[in-house]
Amino acid sequence: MDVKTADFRQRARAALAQPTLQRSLQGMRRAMPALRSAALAALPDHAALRDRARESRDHALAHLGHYLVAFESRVRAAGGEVHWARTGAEAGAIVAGLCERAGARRVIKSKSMVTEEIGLNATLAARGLQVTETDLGEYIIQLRGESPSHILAPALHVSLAEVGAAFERHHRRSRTAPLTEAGAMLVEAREELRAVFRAADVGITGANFLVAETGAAVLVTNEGNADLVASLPATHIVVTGIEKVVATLDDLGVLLRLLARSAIGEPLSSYTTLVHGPRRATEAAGPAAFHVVLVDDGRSALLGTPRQEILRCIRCSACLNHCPVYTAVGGHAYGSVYSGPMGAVLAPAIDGLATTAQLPAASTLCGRCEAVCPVAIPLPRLLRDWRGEALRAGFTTPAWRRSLRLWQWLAAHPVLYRFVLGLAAGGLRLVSVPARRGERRIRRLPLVARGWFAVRDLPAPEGGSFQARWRARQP
Amino acid sequence: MSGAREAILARIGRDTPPAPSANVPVESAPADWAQRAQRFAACATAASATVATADSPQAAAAGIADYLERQGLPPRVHVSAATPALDGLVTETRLQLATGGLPDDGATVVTGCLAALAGEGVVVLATGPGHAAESVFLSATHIVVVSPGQLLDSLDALWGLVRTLPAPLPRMVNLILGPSRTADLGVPSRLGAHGPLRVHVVLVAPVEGA
Repeated sequence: MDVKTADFRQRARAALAQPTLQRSLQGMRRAMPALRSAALAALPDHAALRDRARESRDHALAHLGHYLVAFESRVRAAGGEVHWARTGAEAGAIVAGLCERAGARRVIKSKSMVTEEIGLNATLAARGLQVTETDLGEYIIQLRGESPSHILAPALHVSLAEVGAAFERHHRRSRTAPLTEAGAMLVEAREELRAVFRAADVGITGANFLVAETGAAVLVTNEGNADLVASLPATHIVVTGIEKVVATLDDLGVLLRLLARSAIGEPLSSYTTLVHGPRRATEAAGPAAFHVVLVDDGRSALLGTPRQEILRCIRCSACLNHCPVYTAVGGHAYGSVYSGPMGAVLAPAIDGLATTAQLPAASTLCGRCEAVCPVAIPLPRLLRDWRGEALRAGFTTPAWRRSLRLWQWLAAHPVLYRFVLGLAAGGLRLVSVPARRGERRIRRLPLVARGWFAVRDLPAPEGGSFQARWRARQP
Repeated sequence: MSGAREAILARIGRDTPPAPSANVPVESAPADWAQRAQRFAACATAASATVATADSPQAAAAGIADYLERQGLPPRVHVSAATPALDGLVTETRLQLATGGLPDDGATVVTGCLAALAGEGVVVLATGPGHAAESVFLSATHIVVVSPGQLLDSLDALWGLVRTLPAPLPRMVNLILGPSRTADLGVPSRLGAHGPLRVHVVLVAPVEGA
């Protein structure tokens, strides 16, 4: 994927100054946690379901080859074809070849993060194909020439006025008044895209899950666009990661119960569709050709390593919605297709640490991501793991390395360490001011952390150091 | 690219696993039809669908005609995925039926279904010779009639039903919860993004004493 992660800090600063993005993120911070917890609280036993979800993902990943081959044989039996791609480039070439075989000129897509990851739209456009995204959010950012800023809500950063302006620029219609109202925009997009749906030669979707038991590619949407993409064109191509397979329909049911609740606080999305191959001989409608492209792109290298746990991810986006860093800067700051905590773990695996080392560092390690993950991925541990590797590989800044060396040296000299710590604590108490309930808080520091103190304060250190307290507790 | 297949499989291994977990945390739903129907209605209406009950397929058809009048929609309906639950449509003089082909934009489609799930408020349709998925997704109004025996507990019961279907499985099995919606134009979500703006479910009650 096209990675611009090296300038994370610069992008984060720019993001903090974008009013539309900040309004959307503020709305997300306020609404999403409550929606999610209410939806999960309605389950009879959320903890048991989460354990079962984790178990089903671990089981499939532990026997990935077996389940992918089982899935493949069921798709073939239903008259479809399965293609395997080691890299994003290989996957792009396969899809381009399939479009050529279909004699295609017009391609429609439903939202797929894997196709973003492999840069499929650019590959197909370079072959002269006209590609249209049909998820409304993806359509909006396609018209604006942008990348997604959230894995579920790709146009989170775009204001309604900007959507109206994009539609006015691209839709050839006679207008008597400017397009300002959301309902009118929806009607217009629906009408414009209907024509595109009917004229398309190839439909490309991702897959939320693949079910080995039946050979199903499972599509989950609220708009229903994926169902039209998978129904109207003569060829349907599914492009998805090898890790998406689950063993049985029971496993699928467990994950579906958690996916929409974790993502949007709803029991299920509007549409959950199991696709089993091309149209049958007895059917008058549906694609005559059905292909599944299984993409590795760095995933298999994670198997058997501690990082394998990220492959359990079902892309619900709960970790993004609850992350204090993501909800402050949004997805574009990450410069990677996947953002937030899961993105900061996945991007180095896909793109290499050399260009992504700043992403695992962009976390407070507060642990909310792990707490809300429906498949219990230990995201903070995985982020720390990448940080260690970035340091060992020399992908951190010289200033960062110097400060860590200084800390290391100080920590190895206990007398000096205690002296410096005491000095610092005393200094912080000195600059602190009285606050509520007899507390003292630090409102600003000379010369440092001005950005922090512009919006936050810090509690002043109280009592003795941890070491002093520990000694006092010893009998 | 068979080289890619072999290379990936060589990396990830192909051992035969132990049987996957059969432990499914089942959400129990009431066995009684009326209670089940109540649960279905609560879930479906929470997702912006409307739900009605009828004592017979004839009463269901009359209810559909009433619904269209109330909504100010034309009486012409496209029929797909026909089941015995739709038998009343032909004798309902207030409705004009169309079958075959695809509905126009803005049309109303009336379908039967494979199942309805009380625990989720979901209706399930399967494609086949009598039903193309797009006839639902291109319509503006989708009316579904559910036979008494089709009202199942939950997702788990659906998987049990899918396992009993004759091979090959339907090309598409569509689980539908309420109308099409999008949050891409801000909060609150708006209905009718690509698929139907309205979903109306008619649950046909079992015959008393049957």
